[in-house]
Amino acid sequence: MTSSEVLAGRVSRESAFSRRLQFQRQVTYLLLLLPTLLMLIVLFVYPILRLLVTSVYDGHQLTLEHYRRIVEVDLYVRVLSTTFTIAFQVTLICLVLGYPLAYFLATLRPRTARLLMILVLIPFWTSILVRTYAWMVLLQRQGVLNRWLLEWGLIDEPLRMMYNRIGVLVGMTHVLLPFMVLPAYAVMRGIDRNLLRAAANLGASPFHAFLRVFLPLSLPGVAAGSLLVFILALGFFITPALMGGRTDMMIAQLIETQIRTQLNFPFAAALATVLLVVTLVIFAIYNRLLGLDKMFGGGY
Amino acid sequence: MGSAWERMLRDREHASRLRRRQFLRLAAAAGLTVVGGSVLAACGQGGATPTAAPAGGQTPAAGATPPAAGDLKVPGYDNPNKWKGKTLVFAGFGGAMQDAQRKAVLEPFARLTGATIVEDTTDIGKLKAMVDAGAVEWTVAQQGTFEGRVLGMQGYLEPIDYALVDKANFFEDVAGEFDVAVIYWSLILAYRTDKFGNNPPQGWKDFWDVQNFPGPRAMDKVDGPVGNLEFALMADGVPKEQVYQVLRTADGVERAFKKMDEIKPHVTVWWEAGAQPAQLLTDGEVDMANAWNGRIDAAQRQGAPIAIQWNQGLLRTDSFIVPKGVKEKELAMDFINFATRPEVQAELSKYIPYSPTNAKAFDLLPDDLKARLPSAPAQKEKQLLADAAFWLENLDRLTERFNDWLTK
Repeated sequence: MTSSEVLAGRVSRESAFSRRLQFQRQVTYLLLLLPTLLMLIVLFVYPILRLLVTSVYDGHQLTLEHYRRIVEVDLYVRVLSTTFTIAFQVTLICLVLGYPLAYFLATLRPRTARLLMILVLIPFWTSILVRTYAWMVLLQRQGVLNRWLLEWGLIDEPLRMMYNRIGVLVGMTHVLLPFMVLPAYAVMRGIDRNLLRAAANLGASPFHAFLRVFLPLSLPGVAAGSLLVFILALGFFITPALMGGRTDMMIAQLIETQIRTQLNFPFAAALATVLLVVTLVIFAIYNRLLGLDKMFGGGY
Repeated sequence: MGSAWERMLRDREHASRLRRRQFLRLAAAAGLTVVGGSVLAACGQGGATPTAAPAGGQTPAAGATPPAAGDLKVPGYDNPNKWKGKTLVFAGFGGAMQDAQRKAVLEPFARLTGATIVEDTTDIGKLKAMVDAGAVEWTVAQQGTFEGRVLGMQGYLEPIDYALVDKANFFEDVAGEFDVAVIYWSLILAYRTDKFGNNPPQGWKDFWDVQNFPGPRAMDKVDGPVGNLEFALMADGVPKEQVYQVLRTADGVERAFKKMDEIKPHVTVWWEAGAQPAQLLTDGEVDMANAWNGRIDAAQRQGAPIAIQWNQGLLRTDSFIVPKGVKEKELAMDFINFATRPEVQAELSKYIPYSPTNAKAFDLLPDDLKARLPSAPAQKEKQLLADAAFWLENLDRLTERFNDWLTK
């Protein structure tokens, strides 16, 4: 046996050992994941599959009748497009409002930031009707805001700020803003401020340092926040129903009516499936453009 | 999520008891589940676990004159051991409605028959799941009559046994094959008295007449086409007796939607929750609205300058139903019979101004209360009774058409 053979044997033994170790580790991970996995399968994957089946199987045969109805009747396409438009607008507003807020919070001492964060979270714990009534008091035709503006002579006619798209956007942004601020704040907190100092040291203006260093590093939080807001916004129906105008109907409202009054579960399932599929497609496009997997994988 | 919201919307409780605080409590229950806002969650139902009816612990909310239900006597119910050892699970709409039912119906039934009563909250999804799984928990549930009839048609309900439910004095269309209507409520025209007090609108023709009755309007969208189409036809001059006859023709439907086009620009709010029109009228945000009578009654009691025009209102009902495969079928029928006795219905109306479906109940009610109840003779003859058969057949198609019209 030459020394090289001995060496090869040791290497293979070692690699076998390391493989075994790795295998054991994987088994451990899998066991740790098992409860979550089971829960997801029982409470999420299975119901979604049932939903799909309900929408295409009427108890005797397969049918695409419900999907044909969605495609053929203008209403459903129109409401779907309203749904995505509103979700997109809300995401944009949350981004514009939430980014500076998260940035500001991230510059504060953690104690102060935590206190202010509670303010951001308050709408989260307030019931929908309380919030809606509060907005009614402020925004409606004879509301506080209109009365002030009229008194100060800034307007001659009350502005219409409720029971239209503005109302929907105000109401939804109010609820969804925390979903943007929290992940953005978490990521911004983790950014090493020394990097900004280093940039300044190398001659970057504060604006440039922000643009070239801070902004790219904060993107994972922004991307996560935007996605959360967008997807949650798609499922809204009470806020648009209460604060919106007649054209601000979202798909969840139609699904709810199908279940509550029409008792047409298969059609409701078909509508829900369409919403799910379109959402997944948008997610895939978003992922392709922004590389979410890399961002969530901890790109910094 | 769906169930809490549905409960809140369907809960046409009489809001004189629905003081602000109570409303907020109800809203909180709905709101908490809504924050997440996921559509898929809407398809899963949050289950309420049955809780035993508190033994007289709860008083009816403020504003009512609480009658003493403890001595209510109901002819035919004099054997306190009749249902001893049996349990009746009642699933109602919750809120002020169920509080009133507890006092006027559930507790007297328990006292007079010996049955044990357990309460839950009604939910169509839950009922379907129970029947599908062959594990029916409820004995009797409450639903809107349309919904009840759809469930009956889909095979989810036990037929009502009219050998056990005495329908002798019921109003028309109260005794369904699978459902018994237990209360009337009404979709009526409500208006601000400071605006139109000297010249009140007489019906839907005036509601549509924005020249002589100027001011913003609110209309109901949570009931979809139900009500709105009938009102449009009456505004267009169709006598109330012929409304459904016209609506059964394709031309009639076109005519209704064409009339709806006229009012569309003047409707500033399409309401979704029963509390909305009362609030909008109280705040002066709109001057006229169609609204559920109970909510307007409540606002009036709180001093809001609002009046009800009963002319051409739409009378609707809620029903008791029995899930298919129920364990205690006879008990269920006996309970429905009890709930529709004149004495019991009159008692319920004293707690909450929902209106009896047994004509004899009005013999037991004082005049001032009768004036507020939608099915009392003076109000009933002015109104149109919703045609459940028509809507059962056309609800799906016309809801689609209405939503299409609305969002255009």
